[in-house]
Amino acid sequence: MSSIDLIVGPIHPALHEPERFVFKIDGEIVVDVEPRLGYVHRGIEKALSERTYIKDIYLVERVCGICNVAHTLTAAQAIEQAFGVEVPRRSKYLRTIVHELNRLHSHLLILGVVCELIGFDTLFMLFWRDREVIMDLIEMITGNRVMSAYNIIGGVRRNIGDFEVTQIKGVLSSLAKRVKQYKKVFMDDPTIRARCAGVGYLSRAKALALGAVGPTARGSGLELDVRVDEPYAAYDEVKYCAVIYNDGDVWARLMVRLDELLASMEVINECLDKMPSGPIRVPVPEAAPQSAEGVSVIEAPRGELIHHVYTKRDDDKPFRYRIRTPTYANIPAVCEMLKGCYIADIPAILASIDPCFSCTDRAALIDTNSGEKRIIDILSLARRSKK
Amino acid sequence: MEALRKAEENFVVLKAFNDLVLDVVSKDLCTKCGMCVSSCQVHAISMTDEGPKSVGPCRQCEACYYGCPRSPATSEELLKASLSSEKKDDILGSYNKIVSARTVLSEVKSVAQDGGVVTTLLIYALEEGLIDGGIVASKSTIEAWKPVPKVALSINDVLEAAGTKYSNCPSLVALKDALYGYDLSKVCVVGVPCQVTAARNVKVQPKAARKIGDKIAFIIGLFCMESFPHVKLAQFLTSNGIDIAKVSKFDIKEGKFRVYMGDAEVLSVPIRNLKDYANRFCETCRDLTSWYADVSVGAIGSGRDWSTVIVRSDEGAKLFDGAVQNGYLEVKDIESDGIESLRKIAKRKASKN
Amino acid sequence: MRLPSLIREVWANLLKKPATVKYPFEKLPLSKTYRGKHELMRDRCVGCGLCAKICPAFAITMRSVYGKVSPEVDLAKCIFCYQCEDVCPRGAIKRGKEYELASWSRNEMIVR
Repeated sequence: MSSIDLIVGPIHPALHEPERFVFKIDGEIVVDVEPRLGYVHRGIEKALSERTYIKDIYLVERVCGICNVAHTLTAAQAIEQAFGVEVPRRSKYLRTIVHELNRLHSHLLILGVVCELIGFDTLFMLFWRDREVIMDLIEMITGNRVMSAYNIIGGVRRNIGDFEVTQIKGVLSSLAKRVKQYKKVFMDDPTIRARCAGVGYLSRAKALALGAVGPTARGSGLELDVRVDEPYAAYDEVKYCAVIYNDGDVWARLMVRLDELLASMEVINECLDKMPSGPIRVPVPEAAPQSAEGVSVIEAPRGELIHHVYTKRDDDKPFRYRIRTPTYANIPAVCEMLKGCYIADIPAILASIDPCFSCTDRAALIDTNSGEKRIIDILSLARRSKK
Repeated sequence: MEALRKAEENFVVLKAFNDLVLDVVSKDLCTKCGMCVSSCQVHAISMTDEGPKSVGPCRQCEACYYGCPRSPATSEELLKASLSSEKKDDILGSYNKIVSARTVLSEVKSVAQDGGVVTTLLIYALEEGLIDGGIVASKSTIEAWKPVPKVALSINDVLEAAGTKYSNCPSLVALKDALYGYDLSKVCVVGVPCQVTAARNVKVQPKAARKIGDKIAFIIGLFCMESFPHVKLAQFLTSNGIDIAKVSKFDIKEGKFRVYMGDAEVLSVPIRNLKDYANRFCETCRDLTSWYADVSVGAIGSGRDWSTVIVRSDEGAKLFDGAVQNGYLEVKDIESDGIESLRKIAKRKASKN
Repeated sequence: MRLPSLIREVWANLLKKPATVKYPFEKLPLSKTYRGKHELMRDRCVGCGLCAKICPAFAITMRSVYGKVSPEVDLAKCIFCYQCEDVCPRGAIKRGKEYELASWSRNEMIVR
């Protein structure tokens, strides 16, 4: 029996980072997947150790545009740990609030994208409309819709007052109602059930063995949430329970994100209520006071994010900087999910781990037997997936 | 050759923190006011008991050098020109009016040194929303009578800091906490003449950290003859058999330094006997009445439980008159010999140093 | 069972204002903290170059114009983090509100 290679990527729809998947297909069914990583090696880790710590914060912000707050928060925490700096409590709360707002906008984005990929364009537009109000909140607090530039070493850059608190609470309460309605749609709607339930199955054992993180792991029933396991920022002072679904399919991963939206809103509200008064940042000299290392692990919207920094005494640049992004950890898991699925389900499954690939719309089909190559763009692949 | 000449023309020697150490700290001129710490936008300076110390790489922005009250670059003409006052006086500085005032707030009366004017002005400004916080010297909770810089954000904080301390403290370090840490936009600085000069410096000197100056709403100056390092003050009291922790109040009245425990006066020595204990940097200071403050407040010249208030600028008048009109302070005309005695003492400080 | 809720939704959306705005004619209000095009206050700047040293995107260069050294911000490189505003000791850089920064030439992208 001849198998055909279906090459998706390195430049691929709906994904934020170029990455190549070669699918061995038998008819319409994917038999095997071969991922190839490293298309966007930007040399960021080396660049980080060539720049001062202040510049580093802005460079790690650009590792991923969508979860930029997560990256700056992790970097700031890692560098603070290496420097031996304790940040004020109020700044921890503010960091938590903006981090959760960032998660809200990231989850709403990917939920919309998945809906669009499975052909449910109405829901896609509704999600993205709601994402807009979250981005307005982020702009109100930080000064920009996406690139927030909010966390710095030693705290946060802007304070919030009573006006902002009422604004955030007002928006979140109306958004919570809508999210509950979307959740009902996700539970009942036959289209979504047909396209998501049972698709891209990842068992709990496989998720554990392949080292899945974030909503991908939680959708397979793994109780893995850094906010619960190793509370950072203000999570040790607010109530938070990890959202777990046991189904292990695309639907479960989306439901995890939907429930996390509600959980995030509760965290933000609790932070706003509990927020202590006090300074928002402490002055930190540019050079490292000691040779040390700092590790910071946080729960980014896509999963566990790790930053690791080595400092050199009296040097204003890190000696070594290392970043482990959650999508990287989820690639083996997504390969496992893709085995046995239909070609039309590939976009939905890939998007269900909320990957951080680059987003230009093209894919190539190669028939290995005849050597025939066809380039298809994302639109036609998406069209195919909507059939 | 032409290019080289051009490059030479454009070559500017930027003053780094090292120059500040060379020109001020190593010459025993440093008043430990803390303005260099607050001026530094890359947080490379920290304050120790011996003076400012470098803790990070200096980026040569010159802000610390030009903000320093004792820096050779400080231009007195600019400082003088910044005050829009009617009467020019060499000894008392330029001023609009001199009056006696005292507080009417009972909670201030119980803690205040004399008239409680500074505390009341701060409370008024905080309640009216004229300022978000005040930079004050509060008492340390660890060492008795050791002043520590503090940002007063509430009336309780202000009341805690009431009362004169005769040791110097780097009050302006708290400006960094207020402006960088708390992100306040309007603060009031309370300080002795050297600190007031620093605060006025950052408002008017073009090369000083004027971003900080923009956020200083008012400068309240205190009268200061000289200050004593906390360590030496404690030593002096111990040599006289007094534990500094038990002292309830210090005062300088009628040329004598008086120490109270409870209500009883336990020690009174002529102030000139204390000369050996005073800070060395006070020897070069000629300013008794905080020339460059918006409002200067002190005990000299008014009777018991009254303070002498010198209003020097429009902002100062706004603050002081507002407090009077809203019933925070009561005012009376200063006695004519009050100004004379103030002038006499100020002249003595100016001629002595 | 789902029809009534559907009808309610339709009614609610028929009378609703659209969620979008007609951009070039209508603009969304900006937040107080919005970071747009720089406003350089030349009279305040003393040319210390701290902004150029701190700029994470290397977008600021110090140029001497008529004997006065002052910063030039290249908006094509700028990432609008406003670290320069944070760090300027003289308050010579202010956040502007202008965000329509497209231009036909690179020269116009430089704020002097």
